[in-house]
Amino acid sequence: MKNIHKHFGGVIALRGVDFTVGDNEVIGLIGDNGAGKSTLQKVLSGLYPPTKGEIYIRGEKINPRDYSVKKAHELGIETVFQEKALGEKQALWRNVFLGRQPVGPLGFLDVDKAKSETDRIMKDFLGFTGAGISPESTVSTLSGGERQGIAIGRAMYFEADLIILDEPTNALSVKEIGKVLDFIREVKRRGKSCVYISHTIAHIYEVSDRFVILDKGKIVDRREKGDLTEQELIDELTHHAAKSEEGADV
Amino acid sequence: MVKSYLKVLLVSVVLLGLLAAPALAAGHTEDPVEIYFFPGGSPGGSFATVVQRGAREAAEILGDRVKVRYKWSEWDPQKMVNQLQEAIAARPDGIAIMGHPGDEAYRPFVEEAVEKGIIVTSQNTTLPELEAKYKSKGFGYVGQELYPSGYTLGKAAAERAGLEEGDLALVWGLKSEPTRGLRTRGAIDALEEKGIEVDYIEISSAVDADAAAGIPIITGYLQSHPDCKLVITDHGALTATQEEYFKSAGLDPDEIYGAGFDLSPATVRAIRSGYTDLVLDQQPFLQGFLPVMQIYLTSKYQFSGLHIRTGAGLVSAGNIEAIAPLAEEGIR
Amino acid sequence: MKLLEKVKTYNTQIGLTFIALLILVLFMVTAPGTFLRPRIYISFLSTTPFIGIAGLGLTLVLISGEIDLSFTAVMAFAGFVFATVMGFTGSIILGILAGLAAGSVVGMLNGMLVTLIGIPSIVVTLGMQFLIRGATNIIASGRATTLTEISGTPMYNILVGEIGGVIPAQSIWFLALAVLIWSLLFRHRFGDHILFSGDNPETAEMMGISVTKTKILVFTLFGMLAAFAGILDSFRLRTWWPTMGEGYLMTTMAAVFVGGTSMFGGEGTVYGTFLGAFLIGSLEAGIVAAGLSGFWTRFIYGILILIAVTVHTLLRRRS
Repeated sequence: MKNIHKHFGGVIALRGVDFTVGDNEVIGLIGDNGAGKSTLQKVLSGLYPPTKGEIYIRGEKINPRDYSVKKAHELGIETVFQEKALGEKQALWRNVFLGRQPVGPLGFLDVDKAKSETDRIMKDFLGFTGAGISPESTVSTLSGGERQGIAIGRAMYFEADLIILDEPTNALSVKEIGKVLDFIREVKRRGKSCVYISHTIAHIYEVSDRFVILDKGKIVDRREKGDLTEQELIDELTHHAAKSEEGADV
Repeated sequence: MVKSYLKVLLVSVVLLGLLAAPALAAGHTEDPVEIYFFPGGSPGGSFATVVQRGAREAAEILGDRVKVRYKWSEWDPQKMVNQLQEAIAARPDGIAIMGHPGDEAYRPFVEEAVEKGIIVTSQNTTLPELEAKYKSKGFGYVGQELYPSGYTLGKAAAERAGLEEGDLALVWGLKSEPTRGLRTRGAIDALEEKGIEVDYIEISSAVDADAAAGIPIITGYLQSHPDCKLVITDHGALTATQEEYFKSAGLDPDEIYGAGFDLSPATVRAIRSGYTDLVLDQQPFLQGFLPVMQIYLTSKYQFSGLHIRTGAGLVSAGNIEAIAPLAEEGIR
Repeated sequence: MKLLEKVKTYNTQIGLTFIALLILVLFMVTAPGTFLRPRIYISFLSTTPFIGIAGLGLTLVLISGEIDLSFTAVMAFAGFVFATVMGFTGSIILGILAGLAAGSVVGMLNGMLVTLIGIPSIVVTLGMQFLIRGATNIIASGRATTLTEISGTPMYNILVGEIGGVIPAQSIWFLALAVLIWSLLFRHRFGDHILFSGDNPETAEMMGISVTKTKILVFTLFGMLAAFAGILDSFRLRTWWPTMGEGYLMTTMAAVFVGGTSMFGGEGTVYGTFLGAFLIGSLEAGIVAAGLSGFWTRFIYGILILIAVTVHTLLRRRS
């Protein structure tokens, strides 16, 4: 059971956000720029501690002070970022194992293991075949879609129960976008959960089970996929955006 | 990709070849005495160039009998030690070093050189221990006695400037260097003995290499100490820049007494204009000329090292006219 | 890994080795009397390690995305602390430890000012350079110190003595440190942290790495390395001057950049710095031995630096 319940008050970016992710579901987190999606994602990933509020993972309450990126990884929560996921000048194997390198007693890397595991990820999870990419390749030689692939593969390799994707389809070609959406479906198929953050409704609509709309730091709407069409969802979002512009600061 | 490697290769070969050409073109003559000479500063620096001029003149007179190479150190003692090591490796017949690093730092390398049959001699700054030890092998010295020179100038400047007990003077020197600092100390001691209050500023490496960099420093000092009556610059290049220093501090020639060391065309001008009043000339030309001769003579005839004091005359407005033409030519 | 890929990855090092060999051959051709005999190489082994060891530390700092201009002042400061503590306690070991500690403290200060206050490292270390150099001058009252008593002691022989009567010990230290730094950088977890801190600090943070801690550690490490180089040089010369190290700033940086480490961070080469140090350290001697006058030295330094850096940048762009 994955159950993250968060309640904040007083964080300037997020105001009283209650957010739950259930078992084996994909949630589309939607909001315009500046709505607070990024901040929410960072709190979820363990990067920022919440100013106020509680976090429950799998029913257990987590002390916000203990919560960090490392802790999040341990609890099976992984994040895939746009553009910030990989070190461009470094080899793939370094990127995959960053922060969780296989090490010997003095902290020296087990390079063979890192490379062979990276190779496995590339073949099994991502279906990379030969094509001139190897674990030693530098990230800068990969295309945008391949990079996202590595980032997602990394999350899946470490057996995340919950994968958070922050704007995963930005700057990708049509074919690559298709691949990313396939990955998300694969995650669901394996029984895990996803939080898909974006403001591109079309993609989100395709793969999500539920939608949560964020505006000015607050959750203004929750919908099930079955309840509305894509167009209706877009209308919802536009409606909320217009309302907040009128200055109704609730 | 191979193509780009080839391009790089071609360009490098051509460039390096161009650079090697002058060296290869120099013909070889039979068995000249090979000498490595340390003129001190940088090529083109005022004092060191006069020294080199002297060395070159000696080399010209000796013609094919010697071949002199110059190692410039920008007055950096560490560099001088490194350069001695490199010079030894080139197996010359003689090396003429400057004493800035001190006896201790040089010791093992001079020992090694002498063991290998290389003649070592010194100029400009003394190396008393090493000189005494290897005198018979040709280790001589051409230059001034540092402490006495400083003392002489300090005493003479104070007298001629009419300073009394309690007056303020500035000494800008190189107290920190082991042997070279003795000249600064000599000047300070002479002043303090007369009861004069002495402010001291150390010449930084930036100013050591480029005297113009000292303008803000001296201006700042003089403007905050208007009662300073005498400035002694213990450095050839700084003395040559005294006119600029005092002018930018807004002083007339009569408002301050400037004393220092070593002549140059700029110093001559300053003496004539009244900004610089007294200079002790250590005759750097001789510091280049004589060590080359020393090495040649010892190499041919096993003469011992000669200790030659070149810090003789005080130059002031009184006798500048006789010396000026030589200074302008870079001989004095 | 296929051969072509391997060549691609290591092309800067290969290019550099090639340039170095070319220059060596050139020296041998223009001054055979000097360069075909071993003595000159021994003198390089004696004089190069000081900029070399400092260069290793600078390489790490550059890779982490920062720069440090204060190391020459640290060299002098550490040498001074060493001489003073040794003078007071009579113990060489204590002096050395004190000197290393002094350098590490300055390095840590640099790191903290850069990461915790957010001042660009070029500014911090520039200021620190003046501060430490000035402080050293003040405390030492501008006086040099002779350290005659250390010659012949066991520590002297270990640090700068002649191994087998021939090889200057400092070159062994240089080699050992180069290997150690290489392993630390490319085969240790900490090295990963350094690489990513320079390449993409956000990624590093997102993966749970403290860029702040990493950078502070790197600066501290450089402080210690610079201190070690300064102490070694004091041993070699058996004298300490307040002006020690001043001539090393430009040459060390030249050695590192000619070696191929990038100014932009995230990548670098220890082998390049190692070779670059010898290249820069030997250039002037070769020029003089070839019979060119002193005016050529700067000019040729400039050509070498520009060619090397251009080649490195182009090769990097290709991959």
